[in-house]
Amino acid sequence: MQATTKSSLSVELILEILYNLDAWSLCYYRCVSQAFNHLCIKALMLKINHEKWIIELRTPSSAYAHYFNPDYISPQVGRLVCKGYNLQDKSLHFLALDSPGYYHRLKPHELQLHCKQWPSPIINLPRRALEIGMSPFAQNASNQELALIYNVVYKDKENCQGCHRPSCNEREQVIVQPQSLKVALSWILHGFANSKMIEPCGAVDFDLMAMKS
Amino acid sequence: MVQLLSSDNETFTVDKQVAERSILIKNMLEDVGESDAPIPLPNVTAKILKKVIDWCEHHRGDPVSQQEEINDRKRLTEIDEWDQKFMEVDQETLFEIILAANYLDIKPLLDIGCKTVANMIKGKSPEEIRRTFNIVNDFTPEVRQFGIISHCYFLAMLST
Repeated sequence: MQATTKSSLSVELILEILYNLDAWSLCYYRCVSQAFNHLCIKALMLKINHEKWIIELRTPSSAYAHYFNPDYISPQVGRLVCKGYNLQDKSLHFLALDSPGYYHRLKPHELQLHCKQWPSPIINLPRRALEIGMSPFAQNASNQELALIYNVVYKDKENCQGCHRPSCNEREQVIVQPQSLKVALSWILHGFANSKMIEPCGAVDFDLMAMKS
Repeated sequence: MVQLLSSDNETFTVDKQVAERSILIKNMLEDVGESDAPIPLPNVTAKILKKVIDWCEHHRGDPVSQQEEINDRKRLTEIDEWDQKFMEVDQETLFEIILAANYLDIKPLLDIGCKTVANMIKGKSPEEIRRTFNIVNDFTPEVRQFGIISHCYFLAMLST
Protein backbone atom coordinates (compact mmCIF):
# COMPACT_ATOMS: atom_id res chain seq x y z
CA MET A 1 0.00 0.00 0.00
CA GLN A 2 1.63 3.22 -1.11
CA ALA A 3 0.70 6.83 -0.50
CA THR A 4 3.56 8.08 -2.60
CA THR A 5 6.94 6.66 -3.47
CA LYS A 6 8.29 8.15 -0.24
CA SER A 7 6.34 6.21 2.37
CA SER A 8 5.13 2.70 1.91
CA LEU A 9 3.85 0.38 4.59
CA SER A 10 5.32 -3.03 5.30
CA VAL A 11 3.27 -6.19 4.81
CA GLU A 12 2.91 -6.53 8.60
CA LEU A 13 1.47 -3.03 8.87
CA ILE A 14 -0.94 -3.56 5.98
CA LEU A 15 -2.09 -6.76 7.69
CA GLU A 16 -2.57 -4.80 10.91
CA ILE A 17 -4.75 -2.33 8.98
CA LEU A 18 -6.76 -5.03 7.20
CA TYR A 19 -7.32 -6.83 10.51
CA ASN A 20 -9.48 -3.85 11.52
CA LEU A 21 -11.88 -4.53 8.66
CA ASP A 22 -14.83 -6.85 9.12
CA ALA A 23 -14.83 -10.26 7.43
CA TRP A 24 -17.37 -9.17 4.81
CA SER A 25 -15.16 -6.28 3.68
CA LEU A 26 -12.12 -8.56 3.56
CA CYS A 27 -14.01 -10.86 1.18
CA TYR A 28 -15.22 -7.92 -0.87
CA TYR A 29 -11.81 -6.27 -1.33
CA ARG A 30 -10.06 -9.40 -2.55
CA CYS A 31 -10.59 -8.27 -6.12
CA VAL A 32 -8.44 -5.12 -5.70
CA SER A 33 -5.23 -6.87 -6.82
CA GLN A 34 -3.45 -10.20 -6.48
CA ALA A 35 -1.29 -9.00 -3.61
CA PHE A 36 -4.33 -7.49 -1.89
CA ASN A 37 -6.14 -10.79 -2.38
CA HIS A 38 -3.37 -12.68 -0.54
CA LEU A 39 -3.27 -10.10 2.24
CA CYS A 40 -7.06 -10.17 2.66
CA ILE A 41 -6.97 -13.96 2.91
CA LYS A 42 -4.21 -13.84 5.50
CA ALA A 43 -6.00 -11.16 7.51
CA LEU A 44 -9.24 -13.15 7.32
CA MET A 45 -7.58 -16.34 8.53
CA LEU A 46 -5.91 -14.44 11.37
CA LYS A 47 -9.27 -12.93 12.25
CA ILE A 48 -11.13 -16.24 12.20
CA ASN A 49 -8.48 -17.82 14.40
CA HIS A 50 -8.07 -14.89 16.77
CA GLU A 51 -11.78 -14.25 17.19
CA LYS A 52 -12.39 -17.98 17.64
CA TRP A 53 -15.13 -18.37 15.07
CA ILE A 54 -17.62 -21.15 15.65
CA ILE A 55 -19.15 -23.78 13.37
CA GLU A 56 -22.45 -25.22 14.54
CA LEU A 57 -23.71 -28.67 13.67
CA ARG A 58 -27.45 -29.13 13.30
CA THR A 59 -29.85 -31.79 12.15
CA PRO A 60 -31.57 -30.90 8.84
CA SER A 61 -34.86 -30.00 10.56
CA SER A 62 -33.08 -27.77 13.01
CA ALA A 63 -31.08 -26.16 10.17
CA TYR A 64 -34.32 -25.38 8.31
CA ALA A 65 -35.83 -23.89 11.47
CA HIS A 66 -32.72 -21.73 11.84
CA TYR A 67 -32.88 -20.62 8.22
CA PHE A 68 -36.50 -19.56 8.25
CA ASN A 69 -36.34 -17.98 11.68
CA PRO A 70 -32.81 -16.95 12.68
CA ASP A 71 -34.11 -15.53 15.99
CA TYR A 72 -35.38 -18.92 17.06
CA ILE A 73 -32.66 -20.73 18.97
CA SER A 74 -32.77 -24.04 17.16
CA PRO A 75 -30.96 -26.87 18.92
CA GLN A 76 -27.40 -27.67 17.89
CA VAL A 77 -25.89 -31.10 18.18
CA GLY A 78 -22.36 -29.77 18.39
CA ARG A 79 -20.19 -26.70 18.22
CA LEU A 80 -16.59 -26.47 17.07
CA VAL A 81 -14.27 -23.53 17.66
CA CYS A 82 -11.40 -22.40 15.44
CA LYS A 83 -8.04 -23.38 16.88
CA GLY A 84 -5.68 -22.79 13.99
CA TYR A 85 -5.14 -22.36 10.29
CA ASN A 86 -2.86 -23.44 7.49
CA LEU A 87 -1.95 -20.71 5.04
CA GLN A 88 -0.44 -23.19 2.57
CA ASP A 89 -3.60 -25.14 1.83
CA LYS A 90 -5.93 -22.34 3.03
CA SER A 91 -7.69 -24.48 5.56
CA LEU A 92 -8.86 -23.87 9.10
CA HIS A 93 -8.94 -26.30 12.01
CA PHE A 94 -11.84 -26.45 14.42
CA LEU A 95 -12.07 -28.44 17.66
CA ALA A 96 -15.16 -29.55 19.58
CA LEU A 97 -16.27 -27.19 22.34
CA ASP A 98 -16.71 -29.24 25.55
CA SER A 99 -19.50 -31.15 23.84
CA PRO A 100 -20.50 -34.52 25.29
CA GLY A 101 -21.94 -35.52 21.93
CA TYR A 102 -25.52 -36.16 20.97
CA TYR A 103 -27.80 -39.17 21.06
CA HIS A 104 -29.08 -40.62 17.82
CA ARG A 105 -30.81 -43.72 16.63
CA LEU A 106 -28.61 -46.35 15.13
CA LYS A 107 -28.86 -45.23 11.53
CA PRO A 108 -26.86 -42.98 9.22
CA HIS A 109 -28.04 -39.41 9.16
CA GLU A 110 -27.13 -36.01 7.83
CA LEU A 111 -25.70 -33.02 9.68
CA GLN A 112 -25.83 -29.43 8.47
CA LEU A 113 -22.89 -27.19 9.18
CA HIS A 114 -23.21 -23.47 9.68
CA CYS A 115 -20.65 -20.81 10.54
CA LYS A 116 -22.01 -18.64 13.35
CA GLN A 117 -20.30 -15.52 11.96
CA TRP A 118 -22.00 -15.66 8.56
CA PRO A 119 -24.23 -12.65 7.93
CA SER A 120 -27.30 -14.81 7.36
CA PRO A 121 -28.25 -18.47 7.57
CA ILE A 122 -27.44 -20.47 4.46
CA ILE A 123 -29.68 -23.09 2.99
CA ASN A 124 -27.47 -24.25 0.13
CA LEU A 125 -27.87 -27.75 1.50
CA PRO A 126 -25.55 -29.98 -0.52
CA ARG A 127 -22.53 -27.88 0.31
CA ARG A 128 -23.41 -27.68 4.02
CA ALA A 129 -24.25 -31.29 4.62
CA LEU A 130 -22.17 -34.21 5.85
CA GLU A 131 -23.32 -37.81 5.98
CA ILE A 132 -22.74 -39.37 9.39
CA GLY A 133 -22.14 -43.12 9.40
CA MET A 134 -22.83 -45.29 12.40
CA SER A 135 -19.93 -47.73 12.58
CA PRO A 136 -18.34 -47.73 16.00
CA PHE A 137 -15.16 -45.88 16.94
CA ALA A 138 -13.49 -42.95 15.18
CA GLN A 139 -14.94 -41.97 11.83
CA ASN A 140 -14.43 -39.43 9.13
CA ALA A 141 -17.17 -37.67 7.18
CA SER A 142 -15.90 -35.48 4.40
CA ASN A 143 -16.55 -33.75 1.11
CA GLN A 144 -14.31 -31.51 -1.01
CA GLU A 145 -14.21 -28.73 1.55
CA LEU A 146 -15.06 -30.29 4.90
CA ALA A 147 -13.57 -33.14 6.89
CA LEU A 148 -15.22 -33.99 10.19
CA ILE A 149 -13.72 -36.51 12.60
CA TYR A 150 -16.13 -37.94 15.13
CA ASN A 151 -16.53 -40.86 17.50
CA VAL A 152 -19.50 -43.17 17.66
CA VAL A 153 -20.11 -44.74 21.05
CA TYR A 154 -22.70 -47.48 21.40
CA LYS A 155 -24.92 -47.06 24.40
CA ASP A 156 -26.44 -49.79 26.55
CA LYS A 157 -30.12 -50.24 26.05
CA GLU A 158 -32.21 -48.75 28.80
CA ASN A 159 -35.79 -47.77 29.47
CA CYS A 160 -36.60 -44.14 29.53
CA GLN A 161 -37.84 -42.97 32.93
CA GLY A 162 -41.46 -43.82 33.69
CA CYS A 163 -41.93 -45.64 30.40
CA HIS A 164 -43.28 -49.18 30.58
CA ARG A 165 -43.65 -49.95 26.88
CA PRO A 166 -41.91 -53.24 26.17
CA SER A 167 -40.54 -51.94 22.86
CA CYS A 168 -38.89 -48.97 24.52
CA ASN A 169 -35.72 -50.70 25.54
CA GLU A 170 -35.36 -52.25 22.12
CA ARG A 171 -34.63 -48.92 20.52
CA GLU A 172 -30.89 -48.75 20.07
CA GLN A 173 -29.06 -45.54 20.57
CA VAL A 174 -25.55 -44.30 19.97
CA ILE A 175 -23.69 -41.19 21.06
CA VAL A 176 -22.04 -39.26 18.24
CA GLN A 177 -19.15 -37.13 19.48
CA PRO A 178 -17.80 -34.61 16.94
CA GLN A 179 -14.06 -34.21 17.55
CA SER A 180 -12.48 -31.96 14.97
CA LEU A 181 -13.19 -30.38 11.64
CA LYS A 182 -10.95 -29.21 8.82
CA VAL A 183 -12.59 -26.53 6.69
CA ALA A 184 -11.42 -24.98 3.43
CA LEU A 185 -11.41 -21.19 3.56
CA SER A 186 -13.48 -21.19 0.34
CA TRP A 187 -16.30 -22.82 2.31
CA ILE A 188 -16.32 -19.97 4.80
CA LEU A 189 -16.06 -17.36 2.02
CA HIS A 190 -19.05 -18.93 0.33
CA GLY A 191 -21.16 -17.95 3.33
CA PHE A 192 -20.34 -14.29 2.70
CA ALA A 193 -21.09 -14.52 -1.02
CA ASN A 194 -24.50 -15.98 -0.44
CA SER A 195 -27.88 -14.50 0.11
CA LYS A 196 -31.46 -15.59 0.45
CA MET A 197 -32.54 -13.15 -2.26
CA ILE A 198 -30.01 -13.65 -5.00
CA GLU A 199 -28.70 -16.64 -6.87
CA PRO A 200 -25.24 -17.18 -5.41
CA CYS A 201 -22.30 -16.55 -7.73
CA GLY A 202 -20.13 -18.83 -5.61
CA ALA A 203 -17.13 -18.07 -3.51
CA VAL A 204 -14.96 -15.58 -5.31
CA ASP A 205 -11.98 -17.85 -5.70
CA PHE A 206 -9.55 -15.62 -7.56
CA ASP A 207 -6.68 -18.04 -7.08
CA LEU A 208 -8.61 -20.76 -8.83
CA MET A 209 -9.61 -18.36 -11.60
CA ALA A 210 -6.01 -17.20 -11.99
CA MET A 211 -4.89 -20.82 -12.30
CA LYS A 212 -7.53 -21.55 -14.94
CA SER A 213 -6.75 -18.52 -17.08
CA MET B 1 13.82 15.94 30.55
CA VAL B 2 14.90 13.98 27.47
CA GLN B 3 16.23 15.28 24.16
CA LEU B 4 15.16 13.63 20.90
CA LEU B 5 16.97 14.20 17.61
CA SER B 6 14.96 13.84 14.40
CA SER B 7 16.34 12.56 11.10
CA ASP B 8 16.61 16.15 9.81
CA ASN B 9 18.65 17.16 12.89
CA GLU B 10 15.98 19.03 14.84
CA THR B 11 16.12 18.57 18.59
CA PHE B 12 13.01 18.27 20.76
CA THR B 13 13.08 18.46 24.55
CA VAL B 14 10.31 16.45 26.17
CA ASP B 15 9.34 15.21 29.59
CA LYS B 16 10.76 11.76 30.37
CA GLN B 17 7.28 10.40 31.14
CA VAL B 18 6.10 11.59 27.71
CA ALA B 19 9.11 10.15 25.89
CA GLU B 20 8.65 6.82 27.63
CA ARG B 21 5.32 6.27 25.88
CA SER B 22 7.69 4.92 23.24
CA ILE B 23 8.98 1.50 24.22
CA LEU B 24 12.00 2.03 21.96
CA ILE B 25 12.99 5.24 23.78
CA LYS B 26 12.18 3.71 27.17
CA ASN B 27 14.53 0.80 26.47
CA MET B 28 17.22 3.15 25.14
CA LEU B 29 17.02 5.28 28.29
CA GLU B 30 17.31 2.18 30.45
CA ASP B 31 20.36 1.02 28.49
CA VAL B 32 22.15 4.38 28.36
CA GLY B 33 21.21 5.61 31.85
CA GLU B 34 21.40 9.31 32.80
CA SER B 35 22.78 11.28 29.85
CA ASP B 36 22.34 14.72 28.33
CA ALA B 37 23.08 13.50 24.81
CA PRO B 38 20.04 13.63 22.49
CA ILE B 39 18.55 10.30 21.42
CA PRO B 40 18.90 9.97 17.64
CA LEU B 41 15.74 8.86 15.79
CA PRO B 42 17.00 8.44 12.20
CA ASN B 43 13.67 7.12 10.85
CA VAL B 44 11.48 10.02 12.01
CA THR B 45 11.40 13.50 10.51
CA ALA B 46 10.89 16.61 12.67
CA LYS B 47 7.38 17.15 11.28
CA ILE B 48 6.26 13.64 12.24
CA LEU B 49 8.19 13.60 15.53
CA LYS B 50 6.35 16.76 16.56
CA LYS B 51 3.01 15.08 15.82
CA VAL B 52 4.04 11.99 17.76
CA ILE B 53 5.17 14.09 20.72
CA ASP B 54 1.83 15.95 20.64
CA TRP B 55 0.02 12.62 20.80
CA CYS B 56 2.22 11.37 23.66
CA GLU B 57 1.70 14.63 25.58
CA HIS B 58 -2.07 14.26 25.29
CA HIS B 59 -1.98 10.61 26.33
CA ARG B 60 0.71 10.94 28.99
CA GLY B 61 -1.65 9.91 31.78
CA ASP B 62 -3.09 6.89 29.99
CA PRO B 63 -2.30 3.52 31.53
CA VAL B 64 0.35 1.68 29.54
CA SER B 65 -1.46 -1.02 27.56
CA GLN B 66 -2.11 -4.24 29.41
CA GLN B 67 -1.02 -6.15 26.36
CA GLU B 68 -3.37 -8.30 24.32
CA GLU B 69 -6.55 -8.01 26.36
CA ILE B 70 -6.80 -4.23 26.14
CA ASN B 71 -5.77 -4.26 22.50
CA ASP B 72 -8.54 -6.74 21.72
CA ARG B 73 -11.13 -4.62 23.42
CA LYS B 74 -9.85 -1.48 21.71
CA ARG B 75 -10.22 -3.12 18.34
CA LEU B 76 -13.95 -3.23 18.87
CA THR B 77 -14.33 0.36 20.01
CA GLU B 78 -14.35 3.57 18.05
CA ILE B 79 -11.48 6.03 17.88
CA ASP B 80 -11.99 8.77 20.47
CA GLU B 81 -12.79 12.28 19.33
CA TRP B 82 -9.39 13.87 20.06
CA ASP B 83 -7.59 11.06 18.23
CA GLN B 84 -9.95 11.39 15.27
CA LYS B 85 -9.08 15.09 15.00
CA PHE B 86 -5.40 14.28 15.48
CA MET B 87 -5.53 11.88 12.54
CA GLU B 88 -7.17 14.40 10.20
CA VAL B 89 -4.03 14.77 8.11
CA ASP B 90 -3.12 14.03 4.51
CA GLN B 91 -2.54 10.43 3.53
CA GLU B 92 1.23 10.72 3.31
CA THR B 93 1.44 12.15 6.85
CA LEU B 94 -0.92 9.47 8.13
CA PHE B 95 1.29 6.72 6.70
CA GLU B 96 4.37 8.40 8.16
CA ILE B 97 2.73 8.56 11.60
CA ILE B 98 1.98 4.82 11.34
CA LEU B 99 5.57 4.09 10.32
CA ALA B 100 6.91 6.26 13.16
CA ALA B 101 4.57 4.63 15.71
CA ASN B 102 5.76 1.23 14.54
CA TYR B 103 9.44 2.26 14.69
CA LEU B 104 9.09 3.93 18.09
CA ASP B 105 6.97 1.03 19.34
CA ILE B 106 3.95 3.06 20.48
CA LYS B 107 1.25 0.41 20.17
CA PRO B 108 -1.82 2.57 20.96
CA LEU B 109 -0.80 5.18 18.36
CA LEU B 110 -0.16 2.42 15.83
CA ASP B 111 -3.63 0.97 16.54
CA ILE B 112 -5.29 4.36 16.02
CA GLY B 113 -3.37 4.92 12.78
CA CYS B 114 -4.29 1.49 11.43
CA LYS B 115 -7.90 1.93 12.44
CA THR B 116 -8.00 5.31 10.70
CA VAL B 117 -6.73 3.78 7.44
CA ALA B 118 -9.21 0.90 7.84
CA ASN B 119 -12.01 3.48 8.20
CA MET B 120 -10.75 5.15 5.00
CA ILE B 121 -11.04 1.81 3.20
CA LYS B 122 -14.50 0.89 4.50
CA GLY B 123 -17.33 1.76 2.15
CA LYS B 124 -15.05 2.37 -0.83
CA SER B 125 -15.35 0.37 -4.03
CA PRO B 126 -12.33 -1.74 -5.11
CA GLU B 127 -11.66 0.79 -7.87
CA GLU B 128 -11.62 3.66 -5.37
CA ILE B 129 -9.18 1.71 -3.21
CA ARG B 130 -6.89 1.19 -6.20
CA ARG B 131 -6.98 4.93 -6.89
CA THR B 132 -6.46 5.93 -3.25
CA PHE B 133 -3.50 3.66 -2.64
CA ASN B 134 -2.02 3.56 -6.15
CA ILE B 135 -2.66 -0.15 -6.56
CA VAL B 136 -2.62 -1.68 -10.03
CA ASN B 137 -5.26 -4.26 -10.86
CA ASP B 138 -3.02 -7.13 -11.94
CA PHE B 139 -5.73 -9.77 -12.38
CA THR B 140 -6.07 -11.27 -15.86
CA PRO B 141 -9.06 -10.11 -17.99
CA GLU B 142 -10.90 -13.39 -17.24
CA VAL B 143 -10.52 -12.96 -13.51
CA ARG B 144 -11.46 -9.27 -13.81
CA GLN B 145 -14.67 -10.25 -15.60
CA PHE B 146 -15.39 -12.64 -12.76
CA GLY B 147 -14.60 -9.85 -10.31
CA ILE B 148 -17.12 -7.51 -12.00
CA ILE B 149 -19.84 -10.13 -11.59
CA SER B 150 -19.01 -10.60 -7.94
CA HIS B 151 -18.78 -6.82 -7.48
CA CYS B 152 -22.32 -6.38 -8.86
CA TYR B 153 -23.41 -9.24 -6.70
CA PHE B 154 -21.94 -7.70 -3.56
CA LEU B 155 -23.51 -4.34 -4.37
CA ALA B 156 -26.85 -6.10 -4.73
CA MET B 157 -26.25 -7.71 -1.37
CA LEU B 158 -25.61 -4.29 0.14
CA SER B 159 -28.98 -3.04 -1.01
CA THR B 160 -30.93 -6.00 0.39
